[in-house]
Amino acid sequence: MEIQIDIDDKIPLFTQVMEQIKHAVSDGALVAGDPLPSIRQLASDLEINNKTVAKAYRLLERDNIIQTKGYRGTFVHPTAIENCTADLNAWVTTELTKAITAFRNADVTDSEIRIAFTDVMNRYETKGT
Amino acid sequence: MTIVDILFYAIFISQIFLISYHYPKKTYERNLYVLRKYPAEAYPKLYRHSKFADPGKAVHRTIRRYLYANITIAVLGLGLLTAMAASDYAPRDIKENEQIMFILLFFMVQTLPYMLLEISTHNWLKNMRNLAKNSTRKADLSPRKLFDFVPPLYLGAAILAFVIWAIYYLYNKGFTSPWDWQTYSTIVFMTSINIVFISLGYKFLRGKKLDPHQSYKDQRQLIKTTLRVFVFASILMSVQLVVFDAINQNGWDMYEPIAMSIYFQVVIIFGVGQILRMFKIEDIDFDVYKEDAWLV
Repeated sequence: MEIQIDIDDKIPLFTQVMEQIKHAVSDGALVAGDPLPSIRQLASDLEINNKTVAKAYRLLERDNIIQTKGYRGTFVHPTAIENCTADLNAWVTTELTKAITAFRNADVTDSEIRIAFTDVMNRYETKGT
Repeated sequence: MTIVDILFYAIFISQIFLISYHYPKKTYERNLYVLRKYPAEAYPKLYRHSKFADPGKAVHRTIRRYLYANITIAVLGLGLLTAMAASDYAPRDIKENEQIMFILLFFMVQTLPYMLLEISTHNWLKNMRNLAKNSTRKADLSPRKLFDFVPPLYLGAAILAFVIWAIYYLYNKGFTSPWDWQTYSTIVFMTSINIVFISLGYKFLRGKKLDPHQSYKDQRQLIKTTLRVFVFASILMSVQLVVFDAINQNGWDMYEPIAMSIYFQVVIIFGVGQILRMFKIEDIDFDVYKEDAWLV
């Protein structure tokens, strides 16, 4: 099973890696329990930074597509095929749209919304990147 | 002439034949097979990076020179043997260091064409990689782990061989330091060589392909072959040093040139010979070098 990325594409590299692995799972090319290459191996083969692959793997683990078992390596999650259809980014967009629509209906200006958004983001600790 | 002298001549002839004729001829035939079966017109990605207008002819010239260089060295070796026989040279009569230097120097001359061919291959692959650079990059999602390619038993044998050598060597020198400079340099040399094997092995295992078009199946086979060559080389080095130590300790100096010649031949059999046996040209996927080839 092969993945392919385009370094000239506007889509971030870590997103391309994530999407490729998700497609491999949803197409059945990767099944639950299949081993995946190490971060260093994949980064070396794709000639990209280790941190880019590390970020992709971290987000895939968050989404329960893969699971890391310490020194034994990284494997496809047992429920990966179901989790592939869940799209966190789409959910964020949906919720934000609802909130922004509600604010505009209450005549809150766009700059007030932006200031409040930034204030909330800065006030609460962020878990990841 | 004693039996030892006859044995020396026979084994040295074998060294000349194996290293300067048999394996170079196999390498030449292998390359010729590729040139004839996979020409530039049908497999352009294999030759495109060449600076020559007719890359097939250029490659043929290179491998022909390689073969002739080896045959010349073989003839030189046979000439030396003839001169030795005519002057009634006998291994038992010559001082120890002269015998070793002669065998060692001749082996180094024998390996020159191999090294030059290796450098040429390295440059060939480098040019191929430079030409194949584009924004699209691909990778195999199968992990590459050491024990997928080398059985733990082989690695264990290499470690054991090194430990046995170290113990035997230091036992002969006395376990407590200070030792002479030769002892320190031998320990540093052996450790350094094994570190080099480990580093190169890691690079092969986890690094990117040297040939950008190579199929993943062939890449895995090459990794398997190369790692096993490194492991056997490490074992052979340890064994060789134990043998030489035993020879020196027991005063069997007249056997030293024979032992050294056998060692060099075994190195080539488990080095070049192993690569030719395990990485057969007929099993390599050359479709990846066609113009419209996609990696499978």
